[in-house]
Amino acid sequence: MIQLQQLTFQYGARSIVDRLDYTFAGNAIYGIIGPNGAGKSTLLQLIAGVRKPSSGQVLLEQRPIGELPRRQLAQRIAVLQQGGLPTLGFTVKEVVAMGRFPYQNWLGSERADATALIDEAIEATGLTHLANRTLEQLSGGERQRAALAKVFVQQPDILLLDEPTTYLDIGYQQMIMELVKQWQRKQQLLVIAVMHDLNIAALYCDQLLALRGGSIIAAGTAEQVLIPEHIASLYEVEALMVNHPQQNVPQLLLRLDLDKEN
Amino acid sequence: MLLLLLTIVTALSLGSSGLSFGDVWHILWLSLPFNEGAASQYSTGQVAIVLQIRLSRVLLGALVGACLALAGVGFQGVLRNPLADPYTLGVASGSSVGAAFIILMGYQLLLGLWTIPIVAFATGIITLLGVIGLAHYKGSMQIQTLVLAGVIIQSFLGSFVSLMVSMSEGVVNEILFWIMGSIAMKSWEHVYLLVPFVLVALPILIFYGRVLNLLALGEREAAYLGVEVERSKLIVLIVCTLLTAAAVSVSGVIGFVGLVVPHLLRLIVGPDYRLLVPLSAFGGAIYMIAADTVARLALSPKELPLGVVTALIGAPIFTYLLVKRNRQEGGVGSL
Repeated sequence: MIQLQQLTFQYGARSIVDRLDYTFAGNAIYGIIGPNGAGKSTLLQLIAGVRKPSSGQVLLEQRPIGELPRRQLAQRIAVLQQGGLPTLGFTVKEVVAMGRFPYQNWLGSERADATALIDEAIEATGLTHLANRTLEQLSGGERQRAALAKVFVQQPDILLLDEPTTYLDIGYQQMIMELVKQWQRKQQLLVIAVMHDLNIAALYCDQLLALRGGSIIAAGTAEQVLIPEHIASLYEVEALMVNHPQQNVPQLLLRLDLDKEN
Repeated sequence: MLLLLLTIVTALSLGSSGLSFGDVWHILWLSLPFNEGAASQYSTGQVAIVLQIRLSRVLLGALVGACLALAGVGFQGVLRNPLADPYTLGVASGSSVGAAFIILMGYQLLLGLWTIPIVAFATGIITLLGVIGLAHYKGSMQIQTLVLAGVIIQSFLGSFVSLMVSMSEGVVNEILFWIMGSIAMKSWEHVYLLVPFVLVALPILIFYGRVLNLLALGEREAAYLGVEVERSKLIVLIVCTLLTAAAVSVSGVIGFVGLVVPHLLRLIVGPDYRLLVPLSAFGGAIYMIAADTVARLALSPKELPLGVVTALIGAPIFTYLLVKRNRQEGGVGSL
């Protein structure tokens, strides 16, 4: 469980995240939506503990996140970053194995053998045939899947995703989200994801949190949050909402203004 | 390891004094503590050449090379910049200012033989502290700021060295020679001085090999995986600076070793720092001994500046490996 208490992050005089109070309970996927500059990624970094709050705090099971050593934190919280891994000469297998770092002693070994876990993660993400390729030989989508496999191997109970599907085609977008959802259900994880695509957010997230100017303007299920008034105030666009024929969640279409101009 | 031994053997055996391969090794063998000493069969002059001059010089070369290559691999890992080398953060310029000042003022014997090394070491360390101070902001060091601060300090101090060179008339050669770097005319004391640096730094850097691997993924990614990023960067930078300052203080500024040895190894064994760190120590040692042997013999009895040789040998080998690798993979090589 992660609690935000009056969480504030200021850059100069500007508040990027402004006095947020919210509780992320376990075993669900939370989606954070909002326009560019709403403070979504900053919020995620505050939760991950790589940024220090200007005031207020982030609590992990009642303890301020800044008090935990990074290593212990990495055993609980894993982060999948936007844009995946850089192009390096490491092989997929080597990079995925790096996910075990928080469990290794100073010699680089750990009590139980993690080989099976690493192979399993590589297989689950469909990278078995690429396991010995280097990252620089992979496509963007394959690198993002390698990053996901590394996060699996880290065995966290909280997973933070920063726009996990940006730059990917719809095939990979669906694949990444399906993998996350299956994993979340199986291990009962708490997942907090910054989402760019509202329709994907509506399909996969149990709860949505809409941010604008560092403040929460709406929170709840997709039906409660994704309504035309909120969309207009978040993104300044006119939206038409339709129902997803299979999943019965709201999906968004843009209303075109071409006729008005003519 | 084998390659290092082989290089040491070859370098020891080559020289202008007319001692044969067998003689050199016989002298060494007889000098081991459990034998009765070499003096019985060879002249004191011959024994001195092997033990006092050649052996100490070869070992000093090995240590200086190991220091510089280790520092290079560490700096490249932390700064994540393929152009980083032991001198990027201005350590060498700091040392040069100190040494040039001492030579210019004629203070060489103020603290005995060790005046120049001590002053060069101190000014090198002070320079790095200055650079880190400049780059430090709110408890973290931005890599870009660090490199920029290093470049600025480096050219600032470089101009002081030039100023001193231009002001000196009698000692201009001495200053330039110190800056160009050499391991000639050194003694066993210099060897003993470097040993503890390598012995302490090598295990620390090997231990940080895994951390450097994670840092290659990006600082934030490393933090998410449990690395204390700022602390690790600081420790590696300080260890590498001590190595550099120690090497520079005894041998002057020998370029190219710290830059090129880690890259050569990367092209051969890949990006894993767990391998790169120990191999760099050996690679640097081999490279330096080979370069020094060439410097000694190429235009014998005149010696070439060691820094010139390291660059003359290194650049073509590096180019060859780079071209070969790109041909093999048919793609862009990332260093």
